[in-house]
Amino acid sequence: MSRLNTKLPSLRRLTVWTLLIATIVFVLWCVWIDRQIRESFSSLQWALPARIYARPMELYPGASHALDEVQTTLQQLGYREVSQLGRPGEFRRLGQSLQIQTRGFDFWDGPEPSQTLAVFFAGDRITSLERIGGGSVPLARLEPVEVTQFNPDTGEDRLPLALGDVPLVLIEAVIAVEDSRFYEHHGVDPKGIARAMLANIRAGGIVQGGSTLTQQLVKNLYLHRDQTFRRKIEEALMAVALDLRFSKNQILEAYLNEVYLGQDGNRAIHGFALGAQHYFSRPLTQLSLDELALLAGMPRGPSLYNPRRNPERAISRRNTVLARMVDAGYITEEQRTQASQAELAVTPRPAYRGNGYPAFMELVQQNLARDYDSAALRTEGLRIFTTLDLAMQTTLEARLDKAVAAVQRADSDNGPLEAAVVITDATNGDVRALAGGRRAGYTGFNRALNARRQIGSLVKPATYLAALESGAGDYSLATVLSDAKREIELDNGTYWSPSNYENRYFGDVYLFDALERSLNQATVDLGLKLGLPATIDMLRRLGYNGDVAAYPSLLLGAVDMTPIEVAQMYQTLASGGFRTPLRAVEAVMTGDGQRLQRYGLAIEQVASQRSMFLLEHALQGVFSRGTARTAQSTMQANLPLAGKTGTTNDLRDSWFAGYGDDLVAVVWLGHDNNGATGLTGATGALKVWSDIMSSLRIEPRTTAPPPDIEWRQVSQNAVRDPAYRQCQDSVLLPFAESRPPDRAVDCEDDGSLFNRVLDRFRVFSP
Amino acid sequence: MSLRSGLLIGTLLLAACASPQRQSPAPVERSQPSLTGTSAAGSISESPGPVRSGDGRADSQGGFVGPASPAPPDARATPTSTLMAGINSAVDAGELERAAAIAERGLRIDPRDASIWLSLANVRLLQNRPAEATALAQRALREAGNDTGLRREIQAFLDRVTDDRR
Repeated sequence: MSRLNTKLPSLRRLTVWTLLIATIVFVLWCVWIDRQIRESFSSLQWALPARIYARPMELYPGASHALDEVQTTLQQLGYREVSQLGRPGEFRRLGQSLQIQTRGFDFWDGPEPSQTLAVFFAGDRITSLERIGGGSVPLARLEPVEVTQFNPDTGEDRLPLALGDVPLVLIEAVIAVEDSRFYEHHGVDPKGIARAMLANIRAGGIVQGGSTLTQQLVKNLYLHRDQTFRRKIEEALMAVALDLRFSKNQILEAYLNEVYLGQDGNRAIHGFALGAQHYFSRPLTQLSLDELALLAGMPRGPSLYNPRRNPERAISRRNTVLARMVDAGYITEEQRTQASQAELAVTPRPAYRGNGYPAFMELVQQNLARDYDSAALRTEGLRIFTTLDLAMQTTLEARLDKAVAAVQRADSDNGPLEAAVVITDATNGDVRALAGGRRAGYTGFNRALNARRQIGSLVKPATYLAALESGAGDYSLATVLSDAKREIELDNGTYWSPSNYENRYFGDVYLFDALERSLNQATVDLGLKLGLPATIDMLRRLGYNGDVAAYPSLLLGAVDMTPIEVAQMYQTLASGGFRTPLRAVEAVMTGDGQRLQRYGLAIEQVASQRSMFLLEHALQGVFSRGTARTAQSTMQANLPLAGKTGTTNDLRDSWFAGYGDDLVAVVWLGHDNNGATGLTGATGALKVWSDIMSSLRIEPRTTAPPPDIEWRQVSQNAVRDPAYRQCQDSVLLPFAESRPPDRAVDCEDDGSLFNRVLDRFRVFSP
Repeated sequence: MSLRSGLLIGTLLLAACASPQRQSPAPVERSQPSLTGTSAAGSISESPGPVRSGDGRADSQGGFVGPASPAPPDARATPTSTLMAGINSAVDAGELERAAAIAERGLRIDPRDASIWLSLANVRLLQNRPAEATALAQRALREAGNDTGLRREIQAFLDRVTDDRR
């Protein structure tokens, strides 16, 4: 007995101590939880993906957009086709016109308002643009298509919204269905738990949860999904701490932005604002009662109640939400009845994403690397406005593979022929479409940016322009060059003996003819007379910054460039001698619409307009008489155009670079192992170029002659002695007034006054 | 006459004679706020409380702005004249880079419009970037064709830039 008596107090003491220690541990746990919650919630920042936009479609009378093209863009933007316009984000097709209720958008240069437009078409053009019920509109701009995102590692995407911007109806719906006593409880709701238990017992399964919004938020933000008892306690304690330390509005705002509402590929859709975009392609503020109720019902089972996959369940859940809203007194019975009968207005598929355009996006990231590190790009919710022309990129991708297949030599044993294409805007250097390989959406080696290959005859315009710009030598298009076979002794004592294509040599030739037919010997003759530094200097002026070895072989293209570097060179030519840096990004804004950077148009004149006009005459001759004349039938509707073929040793690389008034495009074909393709620039790249650019309806090149240009007839044959000139079948060429043709070839200037007067009335076109 | 008022008068005159529309990494502009302020989006904010839906007014998300009351349409307005007016009002507001952005939008629509090139040159001059202004005016000259009045105006601009740089 006495032993029992001594045991009891010790047991009691043990119990007391255990309880005491447990209480202390529990209190410390509570303090720790409280501190964690305070610190982490007050510094809560969502990692937000950067949104990448294509260039927006401009609508104005005269714009060359066909009706189908505009309709495709509207569908990519998630517009709904309806029989009667009622809300932003809807359109209606009426014969040869479209009625559009635009959504409006905050662009870098200012807001574009939401408006209701009627757009009328004839063929491939917009003929007029009117505001429905309000007269003509000179110009309107659709929202830009969001083509992809740079996502945070979590894969979460959201559009965080301040509570003040959330429709009250949505808040009421969420509270009615998820936590009707939200404003009364302290993070945990014992009454709610009891009610849920009762409902579950009655139903014989789990039909109702007892978790408050606060608990759900805590669970989503801080806890794993496993349903252990300890986790449940932790969740409750954290919810109480959260409720204690933060206002109901702060908790509600975080919940509305955090909640998971579905999946779009690798992208997790979080928050009601993004949910509205994802399911309805409209902002939250533009949704109706039934649509808001549908969204409010989704957190319980984003997959189960997905309105696209399970429309009936989604409707049933929506109607439950509406019924709860009536119970809570938020809406009337009449509103419920009306909303319950509404059909699901979800857009048929998520907003357009295409294939993500990996090759173009690599260029975007390169452009941005100077100002943003990769973490900032993936977490700060930037809005990046690119120069990507979605319609052009789509055409490029649709045609490239087939066009390459059509020229690939069947006897090639170097594996598949690969390709790279860069298309830029001839005016401002915007990169409008890009292919890093022949297959669309290819994510591997990006040849457009990284394949560094010899450029062959694409280099030649640099030498010819250097000559026309040269202060010495009186170079003109009618300068006579020697296209005779030669051997050149190099500095190291060895000899270099270049050859012409097919080993054909033409003796004395005109400068323009040598460029048009891409004659190697004549080019070497010219380049060596000028000196290699002249060509190198011109390459720099045209925008090439890479290495150049000063060997005579440079004159025939022994310089390695990537397709985009070639595009930069030809961009300068297409801009009329104004070097215009290529750009894939125009501007960057923050997620909430503040302007950050803009990458503005910057030009620098690097060649005179006179020299550029003369060079362009020869580059147009490439199509009419020279190495690209085989493209005449394909490009019939688009000529005149300017361009140049390029072929490298053993036919390893096939190049074509060309431009019209609106576009510049560079095509490269070759094998990754640098094996022979069996193709010249004309038999390979030119054909692919023609296929794509005729589809894109490239505009003819029509440069007006600058004031100091005159046209003159020169001898048919290039001669150095006037005794041999042939003027009965002469050639009309442009000349700088200060540099008339040499007397040996000039068919006009006998020095008489009559001829000088006649010049004034001469037709000013070749 | 100050440069700014010169620009306004010049661009208004140009807008009046603007041609009808045709279809058709560089220096970084950093405007306010600076990059360091970018992470504000997504933070928890103490907000005044919920609002009623359906008023269609701006939200800060996804760039959408709700229905606004657009300016009354002008039947004579062209894309160029509309954008020229936009350039002028941006210049008036001292938002020069926004003015440049609007000018570039105009050049995307009509790259052959010499008056837009000249407007952009004017903006660059106001931004104290005379070398760029000169190149842009040279480009305007290229597009001016046989319009002697316009050529003279561009030449006068170029002379002024040259004088300013001396």
